[in-house]
Formats: sequence, structure tokens, C-alpha cells
Amino acid sequence: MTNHTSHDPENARTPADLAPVEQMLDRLAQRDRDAAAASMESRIVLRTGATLRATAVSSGLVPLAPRRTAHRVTLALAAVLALALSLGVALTALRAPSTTTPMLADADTAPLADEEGQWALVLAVLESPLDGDLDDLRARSDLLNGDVSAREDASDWLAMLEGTL
Amino acid sequence: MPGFKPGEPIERVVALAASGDERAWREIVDRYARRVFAMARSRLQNDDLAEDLTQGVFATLAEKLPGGAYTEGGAFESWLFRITMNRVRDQARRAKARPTMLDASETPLADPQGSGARRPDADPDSLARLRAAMEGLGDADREVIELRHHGQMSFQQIAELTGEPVGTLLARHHRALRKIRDAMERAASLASPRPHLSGGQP
Repeated sequence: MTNHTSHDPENARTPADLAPVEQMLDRLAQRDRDAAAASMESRIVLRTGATLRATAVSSGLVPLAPRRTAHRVTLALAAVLALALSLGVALTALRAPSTTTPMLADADTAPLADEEGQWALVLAVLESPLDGDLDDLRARSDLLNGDVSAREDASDWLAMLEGTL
Repeated sequence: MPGFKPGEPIERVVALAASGDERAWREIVDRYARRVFAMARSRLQNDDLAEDLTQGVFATLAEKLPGGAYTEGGAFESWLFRITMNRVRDQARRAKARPTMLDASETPLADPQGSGARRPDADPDSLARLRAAMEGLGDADREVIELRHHGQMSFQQIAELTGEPVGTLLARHHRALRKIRDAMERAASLASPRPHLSGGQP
């Protein structure tokens, strides 16, 4: 019902001959409110809740939610894993010609770490603190792979990782 | 800032929602969406358009509330219904060709006591006459009626919204009620003209 019930002093000012019209209007308004679909409020919240939160975050009124942080951590993990696997693939690709076509061996096929070492790096990366030192990861990679981290593809991965973290 | 708790005063709920509290936002939607919808439905006479408009009003609120656009202290409702009123005006202007009247599909007004008995004014004809009478009001009169009854606002809140004195709004409200009553009586007399009395009078 409306706010202007009998305890509302504003209501007392309505002339008696107009009271029935006012009551009809109240009932009509109630009908219009009731005509809204039962799920309307849920649809509104579904549509607008993300906007509200995003605006609050961009306004600096609220920190990133834990679940969003978790999402970023997952992305970072995926990037780190991809980096490590990429290095492993690169090493494998470099090693293959050296065994099948020894005549083509050159500086790119300089002594490389074995696969056990590559996976040790993956594990080390995964176990390292996520807010940890990117330089440390790069150093480990350098130690393991020699000049591989200076290759273009490895640099790209590291750049992507930096952006993600 | 501690999170939302049920029963919080509206200004506190608004402050929490502005900081991104989803439960507080849900509370605002629950408190006001149907009132906004009713204002839109009354003017547009179309349920789908009314819900679209309601969604749009709350989308605007979601964008502006955290950004600090609402700075009117205790006048949140006035702010909300000003947005609503402007949207309703714009939409009504766009839909100049009036959509189908709702009355044909409406059931009689229910007895508020729940007795199931029909009120004297509860037949579909009286409902149609009431809506038609509202159509005949000027914009200013109609807005006062709809803000007061559909938006459930006090005259003080309407005064904050429109910037007009409460006394002026009360007078306008009474004048609008009188116009509605007169229009309904005219419509009723046209629908069922009194039979001529016998006695030779033409």
C-alpha cells in the first residue's frame, strides 16, 4: 500500500468527496506494481550487478574481489606453465636436428639441459610464490637453458608472463 | 565498512551499494523496482516497455551510484524517481501512438480485504474509465498523481523532486483528483444514459 495511509497528515487534507477517487488510484497503482513479472527483480540484479561492481572497482571504492584475484592467479599459473613447456618444446626441437642431422649442428644446438631438468624448472616455477620475482624465474631459466631464454620465442613468453603477473 | 544487514535505513543501503555491496544492491532493487515499473506501466500501458524502462533506470543507477553522481543526502528516492520520470517522459514521447490499452485484459480490482467480493468501483469499465481519465490529464497533473500513487512518494519527496512547494503540489493533486472524478462521471453517464422521465417532457 502507499505511504499516505490514515496516519499520514498529508492524507487528512484530501477533501472527503475526492477520497474515493484517491482510493481507486491506490488500488490501480497496486495492480500496476503487481503486474511486474515475479522474476523482474532477479533479472535486473543479473543485468546490473556486474556494472555496479565494475564501477565501484574502477572508482577505487572496492578492492579486487578474492575470486578475481584467484582468477588472475590461475591465469598467471597457466602462463608460467606455458612458458616452461614452451622452453621444453624449444629445447626438444633444437635437440632433434642435432641427432638426426649432425652436419647442421651450430651454436643453436649448444649443450642443453636434459628433460629432467626442464621438468624440474616447471615444478620449481609452479611451487614458487606467485607474487615472486620474475627475474628469479628468468635466471633459473637462463641457468638451465643457457642462451635459449635469449631466443625470440622465449622472450615473447617472458614478456607475456610479465604482463600477466 | 561492515556489510549489508536486513532492515538497514535506505541511506545506509545506498552507501553500501555504492561501494559495490551486492546484497545492498539487491535490497534497493527489491524496494523500488516495482514502484518504478508501476509508474512506467501507468504511462506506457505496456508491460514489456515498462520492464525495459525499469531495467534501464536501474542500469543507470548502477553506473552512477558508485561514481558519486548521487550526492543529494537524504533524497535518494527523489533522485531515483527523477530519473524514472525523465525516462517515462522520453519513452512516452517516442511512443506517441498509444499502445494497446491494458484494460481489456485486466481483471476487476480485488477487494483489499480479500473477501472475494467485487467493489462497486471494481468492474473493468470503471478501471477503463479511470485510466482514460488519467489520459486526459495534463503532464504536470498526471506526474503528481503517478508519483504519489504509483511511486508511493510523500508530497515532501515530490516537492524535493520537482522543486515546487508542497502546497502547490497538494493543490495540483486535488485538482487532478477532481478532474479524474468528473471525467469518470461523464464517461459513466455516457455509457448508461438516464432514461427520460415520463410526463411528456421531451
